[in-house]
Amino acid sequence: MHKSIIRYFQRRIERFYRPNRWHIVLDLSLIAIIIVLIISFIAINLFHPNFDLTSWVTPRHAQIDLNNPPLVVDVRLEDRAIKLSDGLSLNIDIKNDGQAQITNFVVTLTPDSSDFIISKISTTSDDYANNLALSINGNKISLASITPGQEINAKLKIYFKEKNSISKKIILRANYEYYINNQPLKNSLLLSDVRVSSELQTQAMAYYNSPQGDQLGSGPMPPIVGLPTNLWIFFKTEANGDFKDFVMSAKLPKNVAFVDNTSLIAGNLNYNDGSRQVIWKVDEILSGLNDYRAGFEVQLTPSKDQLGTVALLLDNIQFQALDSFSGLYEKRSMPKIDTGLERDIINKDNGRVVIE
Amino acid sequence: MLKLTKIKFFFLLSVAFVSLFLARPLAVKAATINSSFPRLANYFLKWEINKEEATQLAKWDLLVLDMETQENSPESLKLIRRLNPDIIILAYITSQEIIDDVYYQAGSTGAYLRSELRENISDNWWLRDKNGNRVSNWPHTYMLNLSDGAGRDHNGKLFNDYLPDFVARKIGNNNFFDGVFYDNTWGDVAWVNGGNLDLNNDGRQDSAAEADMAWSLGVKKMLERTRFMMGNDFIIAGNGKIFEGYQKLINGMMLESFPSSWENGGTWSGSMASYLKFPSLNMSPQVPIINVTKKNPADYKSFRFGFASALLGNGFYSFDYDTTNHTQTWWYDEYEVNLGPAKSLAYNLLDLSNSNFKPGFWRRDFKFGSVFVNSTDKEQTNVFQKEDFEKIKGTQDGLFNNGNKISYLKLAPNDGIVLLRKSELITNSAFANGYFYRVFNLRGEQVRNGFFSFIKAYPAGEQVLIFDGNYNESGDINIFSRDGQVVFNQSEKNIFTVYPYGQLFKKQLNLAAEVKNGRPEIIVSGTTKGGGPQVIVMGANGKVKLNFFAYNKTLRGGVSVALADVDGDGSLEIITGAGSGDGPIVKIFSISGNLKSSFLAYDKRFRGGVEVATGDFDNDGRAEIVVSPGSGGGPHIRVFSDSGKLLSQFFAYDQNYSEGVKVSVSDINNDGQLEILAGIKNFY
Repeated sequence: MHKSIIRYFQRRIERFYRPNRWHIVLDLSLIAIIIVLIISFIAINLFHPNFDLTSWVTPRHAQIDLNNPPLVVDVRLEDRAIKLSDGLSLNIDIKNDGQAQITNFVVTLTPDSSDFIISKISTTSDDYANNLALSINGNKISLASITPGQEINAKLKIYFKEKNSISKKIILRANYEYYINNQPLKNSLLLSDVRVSSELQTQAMAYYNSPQGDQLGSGPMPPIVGLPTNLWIFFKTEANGDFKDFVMSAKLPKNVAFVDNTSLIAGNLNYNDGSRQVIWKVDEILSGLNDYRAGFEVQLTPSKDQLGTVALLLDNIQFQALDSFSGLYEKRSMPKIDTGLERDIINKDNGRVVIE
Repeated sequence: MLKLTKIKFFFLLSVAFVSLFLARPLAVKAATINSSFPRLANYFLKWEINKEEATQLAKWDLLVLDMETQENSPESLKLIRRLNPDIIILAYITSQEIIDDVYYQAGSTGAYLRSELRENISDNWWLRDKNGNRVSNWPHTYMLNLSDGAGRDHNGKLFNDYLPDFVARKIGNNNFFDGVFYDNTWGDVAWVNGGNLDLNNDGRQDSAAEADMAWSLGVKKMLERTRFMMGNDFIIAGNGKIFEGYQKLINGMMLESFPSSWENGGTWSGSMASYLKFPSLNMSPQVPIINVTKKNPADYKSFRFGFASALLGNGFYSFDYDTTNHTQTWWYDEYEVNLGPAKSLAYNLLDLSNSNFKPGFWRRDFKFGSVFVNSTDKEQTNVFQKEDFEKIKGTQDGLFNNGNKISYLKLAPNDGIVLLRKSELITNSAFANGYFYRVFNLRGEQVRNGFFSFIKAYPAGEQVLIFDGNYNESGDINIFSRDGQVVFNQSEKNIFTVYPYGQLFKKQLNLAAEVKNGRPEIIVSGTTKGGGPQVIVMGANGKVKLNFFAYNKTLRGGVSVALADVDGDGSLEIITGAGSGDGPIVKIFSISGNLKSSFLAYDKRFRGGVEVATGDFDNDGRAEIVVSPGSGGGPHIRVFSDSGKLLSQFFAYDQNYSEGVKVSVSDINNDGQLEILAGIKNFY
């Protein structure tokens, strides 16, 4: 091998370089150029691996590179965690960087697991749908055509249905397809995961008699002007995921007094005489446990102006809690409670104040 | 001579000793009065008492029984004492009159004492009018002259000497009676026989003042002699119009047929003023008695009015037929109530600053309830602002005593009521703090309203053990579980904490303890769902004495625990109920952890777990085992003996309820009987 290379250069010296020294100059120049090119290529690949050298030699408009199509599609999630009821905000940015018109653009959004299904997709503004002829059908978003250079930004809201309450994570896949010069093109994007907030079922209800008939309250029912009627109010909550820092509060209206009889199986309940607020706090609510209940007794002494009315027992009922997994706060207001005693099967609709 | 002098000396010395012995008061065991109310009296004047009546009469706190019963029915008297060792029994004797024809009046019953009394009545002792005729104030009886003006018998004694001697000799000198009930002990006599009386037998009518003075002095002398002969522990009660001059000598007066027409104006206010005033002058124990008479035993309003009136003071209450017929054993719902010690004097809600007795809306407070009396002629209303009361749950006047919780009270004129303070403290048996508990007797009857067993000082939902009703009193130790710890509290301050299952175990615990003098001696803990069936026995200092697995150690359904002597061997047993995942097996271990016996509490296929509690319902020294199912079972309470014999069973809630029931055993209504408490977490 070594000898044959030496023999090759000896023949070349004899044949080209001795007769004319410019041959050696030419060869050395060519070798230098090749070395420079090789070094440049390696350097570009090392420091700019995405740099497409072929684009230097191939004009864009000349042909479609299927590995790098002219349509730029960017699908972005606006939320890292959501409440199912609020839906997921999603932006789709589309830009036709090519010279040809793109037609029949369709994005299909699909959760990557069967724990959730998409129940509804809507644009966050009606204008987008009208102006851009963006059409939504089920989990498909489509555009009839995108002209060269056109940029489109679609803001969408995606609503989900939970099929498996254990999983609290949505991973969304966006499959899109379109046509250029009648040539179909497809691509797929896997979006980052979204944490789903758990459901917190919270109730507030009043009883004179328990559902099994035990007398909890006392005094006249229906309430009588000037005489005290005592009733029990219960707060209850349960969740299908873990929550922290649960706080539920409510305000006692006029003619209703807090009787210092309470009963809790979780947390702490306090009454602030100044603000007339009842506050129930539970540090931690664990998924699936039926262990979170607080009850307290109130005393209603109706005044004459309440005669004939269903007297209010509790107002401004609201709660909030931090979803341990999603990091989102659950905040909600609840309907007022009155002597209509909606949940009391014995005394329901017997709450209009009467006079003796 | 000397010999004779010596004989005389020793004779005189002997006479002196004998005299001293005779003069010394007879030894009578002092009666004590329980501090709890109500105090019940029965004025039962049959001369014979049969066994059935004796059994009934043993339920009262004080009996006035005819003195003849000691001769006619000694076994019945013994039975009464046996059934109620704390009862006070007074012997009824007429102090100022006597039946003329004793044998005729006695009928078929014996009249031994009256006969003896009658036979020894000197002709000089009759109370006579100015013409020397015997005076009668009651059918078939003649009055006796208690004054010193009466003549003496052949022994030189007056009647006011003889009667105390008779009482001491015949009544006070045995174990049947705690005292005597003198009927009557008036302070005046001039109103008798239209005033035609000759107490000093001088053949002329005494003036009213002379008669009353001589009479009252004679009665007082009789009482003094009785006291002297019988000592201070002997109870002397009187009847009739109250005379202040006697009160320091006696223990109380009966207000017969209250409000007594003869007493202090004949009104309710007058009788009440006397009822409340004079006991402060009486000797201890004071036994004032209000006796209400109505021919209709179902006249509940009259019964209540008298009953509640009696509770305004510290006396006893009796309700029967008539002044001529005191032979009833009528029993009322109110008698079953234990109000505990009094916490206040009576006060008039209509005039709080005035303690004088007058028609009003009167109230008195007790540890476990309050009593109200409306002695006005109008309906009265009281609204309870921060008080929780409930009516007693009765069977007689069901609409009135309906067991309801109330926030205000409307009371009719001349009516009274006993209200119970809501009792929500489960003692000597572990309970889940915040659960809703229903209260049952052993037969499965709900004896009181359900309630939430929540005490703010303890963590919600955890097990709490409060000892023997000493709650809130200084020095008490109570224990509770908190995140896997057993916390010992004294006067609501943490004194130490034990981690029986290690600091990493954070589940709730089941607890049981042996209590002595309100303090835990031995504490047993079990785990709840999530923990192995490991039982740990601790001493009063929290130090672990024993540690064993009651069931398969690989299970994680917890274990319920109770502690009691269930087999009557004098030592404690640990009773365990299997946790969820295992069969419904109840096991009984010795305190050293050796298995003694076991039985299935429910169908062997049930896997929801068994909760256990214990209590000696029949006071036979062997505690019964009460069980309830865990989650998945109906609210089916069962009571077993230690051998697994089913003694009682019932459903504590709707049969469809299946979230599990916790059981405790405690005397929640303070009636001296244990109740079964069935607790649920949620009821909706």
